[in-house]
Amino acid sequence: MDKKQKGLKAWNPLTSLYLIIVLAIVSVLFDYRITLLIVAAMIILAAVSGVGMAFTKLWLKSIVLVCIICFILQSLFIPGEKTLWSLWIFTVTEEGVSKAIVLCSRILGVGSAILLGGKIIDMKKLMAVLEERGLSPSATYVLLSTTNIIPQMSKKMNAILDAQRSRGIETDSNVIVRAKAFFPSVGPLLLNSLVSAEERAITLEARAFSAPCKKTKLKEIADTAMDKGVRVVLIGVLILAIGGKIILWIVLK
Amino acid sequence: MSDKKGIKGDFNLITILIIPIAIAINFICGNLVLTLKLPLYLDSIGTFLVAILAGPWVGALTGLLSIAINSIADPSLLPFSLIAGVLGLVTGILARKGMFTKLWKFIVSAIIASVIAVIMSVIVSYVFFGGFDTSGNSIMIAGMISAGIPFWPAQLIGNFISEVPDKFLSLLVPFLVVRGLSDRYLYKFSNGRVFIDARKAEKAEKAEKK
Repeated sequence: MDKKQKGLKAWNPLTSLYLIIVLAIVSVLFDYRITLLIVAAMIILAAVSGVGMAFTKLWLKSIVLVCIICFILQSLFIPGEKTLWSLWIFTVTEEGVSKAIVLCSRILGVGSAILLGGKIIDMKKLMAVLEERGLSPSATYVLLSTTNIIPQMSKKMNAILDAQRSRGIETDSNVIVRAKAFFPSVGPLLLNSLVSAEERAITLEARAFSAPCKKTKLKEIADTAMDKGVRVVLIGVLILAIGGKIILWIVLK
Repeated sequence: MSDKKGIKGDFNLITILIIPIAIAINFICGNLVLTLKLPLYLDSIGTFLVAILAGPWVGALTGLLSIAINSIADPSLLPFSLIAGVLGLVTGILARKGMFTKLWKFIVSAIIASVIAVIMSVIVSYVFFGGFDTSGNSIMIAGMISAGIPFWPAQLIGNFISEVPDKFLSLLVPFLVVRGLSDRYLYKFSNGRVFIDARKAEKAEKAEKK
C-alpha cells in the first residue's frame, strides 16, 4: 500500500460492497424513520472514510433534490379523499402525502447507498477481488474499461465537433439546424470507435487475454480476519432484518 | 466464429470490447444532445448499435450496464436500466430477424421499439416513482392532470411525446452506421451475416433488373 487509507476505504472492497447492499435492503424494508437513521449513519461513515464533504455535496445535489421534486409532485397530484390544504387547482391530500413519504424514503435509502458505494469502493480493487472469486476477466474488463473510454471518447467528440464547425456546420442556431448538426458529429464518432475496437482486440490478443491458463496478478488485496468477521455479521444483520420484518408483518395482520 | 449460435456465440472477444465503447457512446451522445440543446435524450444510440450488430443478449446487457453505471452519479436513474435492457433485447431480436435491412422494415421496428418504450416507461415510473419521476416530462404530465385529463391517459400521452421521436432518432443513427460498415467488419459480429446476406440479395436483384 502506497498510502494509508482511512475508515471503510481500508476494508476489503468486498466487505464494503456487502455493507452497502445490507444498508440499502434494510432501509427499503422499514419505514422512513429507520431510513433517516441509516442515511445519517451513511454520512458519518463517509466522514470517517475521509470523503464526508464530497459525499454530502453530491448527495444534496442529486438524491435530496430528487426527493424534494418527487415529494412535491406526488403530494400535489395523487388524488385522495382527505384534503389537507388547497390553492387554486392544487390540492394536497393526506393519501398523496403518505404515499410520497413511502416513495421518497425508498429513493433516499437506496440512492444514498449507491452513492456511498461509488465514493468508498475502489473499482479496480473490487474487480480484482471479484476476479479472484471466479468472475470472468471479460466481465471485469467491461466494467473497468468503460470508465477509461468515456474521457477518451469525449476528447474525440470535441475534435470532431471542432472539425465540423470549421467546415461550416452550425451548432448554435435554431432547433432544426442544431438537430442537423447531430448526425455529422455522431457518425464519424461511431465509425471511428468501431474501428478502434478492432485494434483493441488485436492488442489484447497479443497479450494472451483469452488464453486458457492461470494468470499472475499485479495487485494483491488483503482479506483480513476482521473483513471476514464483518461480512458474517452483516449477513446476520440482513437475516435478522428480513425475519423481523416478516414477524412485524404477521403481528400487524 | 460467427456460426456459433446462442448466448456463448454472441459474446466473442470483439463484442466484449464493443460493450464499453457502446456505453461510452451512450454517454457522449447524451452529452452532445445537451450541448446542442436538443429536446431529446438520445442516450441509447450505443445500446441499439450493439444490439443490431451483436444480438439480443449483448444488447440487453449493454442497456442495463449503461444506465446502471450512469446511476452511480444519479441513483434515481437506476430503475430505468430495466427499460434500456428490454429495448436492447427487443432491438437485437428484431435485427436478427432482418428487420434493419430495409427502410420500411426499419420503420416497423422503430414503431415496435417505441411502443415498448412507452409502455415500459409508464410502468417503471409508476412502480418506482408513483408516476412522477424527475425528468422534464413529469412536469408536463402533472400539468395535464391538473388540466383535467385522467391519470393514466396523461401518463401515456406524456411518455409518448418524449419517447417516440427519441427512439426513432436513436435507431436511425445505428441503422445508417451499419449501412456504412464494410462486409469484412460486419462478418465479425453474430448478426453481421444477416446484413451481408441482405446486401447480396439487393445486388442480385439489381443485376437481374439490368
